[in-house]
Amino acid sequence: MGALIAIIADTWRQSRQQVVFLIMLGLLALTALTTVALVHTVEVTTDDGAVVEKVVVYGIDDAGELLSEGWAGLYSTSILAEYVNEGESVDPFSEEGQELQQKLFDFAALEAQTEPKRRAVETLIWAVGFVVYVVSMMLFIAACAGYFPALLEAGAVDIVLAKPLERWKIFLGKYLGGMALFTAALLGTYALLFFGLGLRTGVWHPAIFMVMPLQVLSAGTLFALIALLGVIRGSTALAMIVGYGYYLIVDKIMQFLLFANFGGEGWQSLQKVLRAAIPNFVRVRDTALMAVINAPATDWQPVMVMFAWLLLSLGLGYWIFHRRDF
Amino acid sequence: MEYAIQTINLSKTYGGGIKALSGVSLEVPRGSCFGLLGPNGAGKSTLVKVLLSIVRASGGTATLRGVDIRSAAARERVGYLPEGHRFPNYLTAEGVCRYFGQLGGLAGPELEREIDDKLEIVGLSEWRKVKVKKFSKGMAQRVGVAQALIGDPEVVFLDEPTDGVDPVARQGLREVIRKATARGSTVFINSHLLAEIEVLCDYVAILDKGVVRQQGTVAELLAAASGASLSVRFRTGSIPESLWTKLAERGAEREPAAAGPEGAGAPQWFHMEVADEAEISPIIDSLREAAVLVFAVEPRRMRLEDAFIELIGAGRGMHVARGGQI
Repeated sequence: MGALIAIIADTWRQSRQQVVFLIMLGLLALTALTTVALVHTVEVTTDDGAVVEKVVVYGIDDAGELLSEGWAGLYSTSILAEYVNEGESVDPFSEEGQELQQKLFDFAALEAQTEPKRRAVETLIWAVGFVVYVVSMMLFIAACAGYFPALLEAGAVDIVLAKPLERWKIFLGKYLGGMALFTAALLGTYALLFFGLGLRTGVWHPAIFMVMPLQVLSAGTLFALIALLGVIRGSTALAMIVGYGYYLIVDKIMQFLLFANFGGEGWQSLQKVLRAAIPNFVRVRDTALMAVINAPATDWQPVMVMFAWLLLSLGLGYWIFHRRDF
Repeated sequence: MEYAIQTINLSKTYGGGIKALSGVSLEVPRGSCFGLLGPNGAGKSTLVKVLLSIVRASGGTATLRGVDIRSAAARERVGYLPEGHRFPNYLTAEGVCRYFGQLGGLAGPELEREIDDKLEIVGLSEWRKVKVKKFSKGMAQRVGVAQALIGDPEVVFLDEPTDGVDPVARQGLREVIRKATARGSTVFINSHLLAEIEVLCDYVAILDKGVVRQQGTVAELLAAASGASLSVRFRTGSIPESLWTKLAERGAEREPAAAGPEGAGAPQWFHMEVADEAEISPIIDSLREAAVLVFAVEPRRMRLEDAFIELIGAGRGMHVARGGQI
C-alpha cells in the first residue's frame, strides 16, 4: 500500500512540474472566480407589485430572463431525450417533432417560474460547468499524455521494476496518480463555485458536484486510452495527438453518426448497435451536465459503454505492460 | 555454501530469435562481491534484468536470496543501479532516495535515517536538497549508488557503477562497495573496467554471446587462462650464444629492445615459461656461471584483463602475450 501511495505521490510531483497542468489549474480557478465575481442578486418589483429577488450577471442585460429560458430549454431537451431513449424516435424537424418540443418547452418554462432564483443558478452552473468540462478535458489530455511514456523511459523504469512490487501496482499507481490529480482539480473548482455562488446568491446547490463522477469517468477513459498508447509506443507526442484527434474529431463524427436522426430503418438499427459498442464523450458530457438541473431523464447507455471502454483500455494497457520486457 | 544468486540454464531469446542468454548457470555466494565480465552485447545487462524480472526469462530457473525470481518477494531487500539510469528530474537527491526507498518498503524514521546515512556515504549530504537535473554525470551516479544501497539490501546489482565518475570519486565508490560487502551485502557488479573488478571482486564470471565461458575466483580464472606455468622476465647483460641456444630450447624469447643504449654490453630483456618458482634459481645460476650480469628477475603475473582477452579473444582471433600485449 505504501508503495502504491508513493507512486501516486510521485505522479503528483511530476504533474506539478508540468506547465500545462498549472495552466489548467489557473484556467479552472479563473473561470470559477470570474463567475462568482460577475453574479449577484437584485430585488425587482413584479407587475403585481410583489418584490422578488433575481439572479443577474454584470454586463449582461436581461440575464435573469436568459437564465430562466435557458433552464427551460435544458429541461425540455432532457425530457425530449427520454422520448428518443425509449424508442419513440422524434424527428426534430418534422411538424410532430416541432410541436412536441414547443409543448415541452412551455411546460419547462412554467416549471422555471416556480423557483426562479434556483433555476437561474442551475443554468449558470450548467454553463460554467460546460466551460470547466471542456477546459479541463482539453488540458488534461496534454497533461496526462506524458505520464506513462516518462515512466517507461529506459533507465527510469528499470529501478521501479526492480522493486518488490507487482507490476499491476506500478501501472495502477501511475494511472490513479493522474486521476487523483484531475479529480482534485475538479473538486477544488466545483467547491469554489458551490461556496462562491452560495454566498453571492443564497442558493446552495450541491448538485453541482454531481457533474464530477461522469466527468471523471470521461477523463479516466481518455486517460486509459492514452495510457494504452503510451505503453504500446512510449511516445508522449503520439499519445497527445491521438488523444486530441479522438476527442476533438473522431468523437464528434461518432456523435453525429450514432445519434443524428437520419437514414432509414436499417441505418437506425445499426446506430443502436453501434451506440452499445462505441464510446461517445459528447453524450456523456451532456448527461453529466444535465445532473446539475436535476433532469428527470438520465441516459445511462453511453455511461455504461464508456465504463466498459475504460475497463477494456486499462486492462489491455496493463496486459501489455505486464508482459513486456524493458 | 549459501548462494545469494543461483541460476540454472537460464536463457533469454528476444523477439526475432535473438539469443541473449543461453543456458546460463551461475552461483554467487552470499556476502561476496561478484563481477560479471563480458564484451559489449555479451548479455550482461540482460542477465541482471532477468534476475530482477525487468526482462522475462525464456527458460531455466533462478533464485534471488533463495526465492524464485518470478515472485516479487525475491526483490525484497535488493538494490539496483542500472546502466544509463534516468532519475525523475523533478526530484532532489534525497527525493530520489526517499522515492525508491518507499518503493522498497521503507517508511518513517527508518527511511529518513537511511537517506541521511547513504547520502553521507556517497558524499552528497550537502547536495541533498538539489535537484538531480543539476547534477554532473558523476554526482548522478553517486545518487544512483546511494539509492541502490538504501535499506542495506542483501543483494546489490551495480551495472557499470563507476561509469562517468572521475578517478577520485571512483576510488570513493570502490570504498562504498567494499563497505557494503563488509556489512554482509552481496554485490554483483557488471563492468567493463576489468581492473576495477580485479581489485573489488572475490568471484568473477565471463559471459560471451550469452554463454558463461568461465567462472570462479579471480585466481582460478587467471590460472585457467594462463595454464599451470609461470612467466618470468629477466633483464641481463649480454648472453653468450651457446647459453642463449640452451635457453631458447627451453622456450626463452628475447623481447624487442626498448629505447636506450644498444650494443654488445647493453642490458636486454627476455622471458620464458617455468613450471614453478623453484625453476628460477637454476636459470639464474646458469647465467651467473656464464658471467652474465643479472639486473632483474620478475615473475609476470597475468592480469584479469589479460585473462579476459585470453578467454574471450580466442574465438575472435586474438591472443594475449604475458604482459598484456595482444
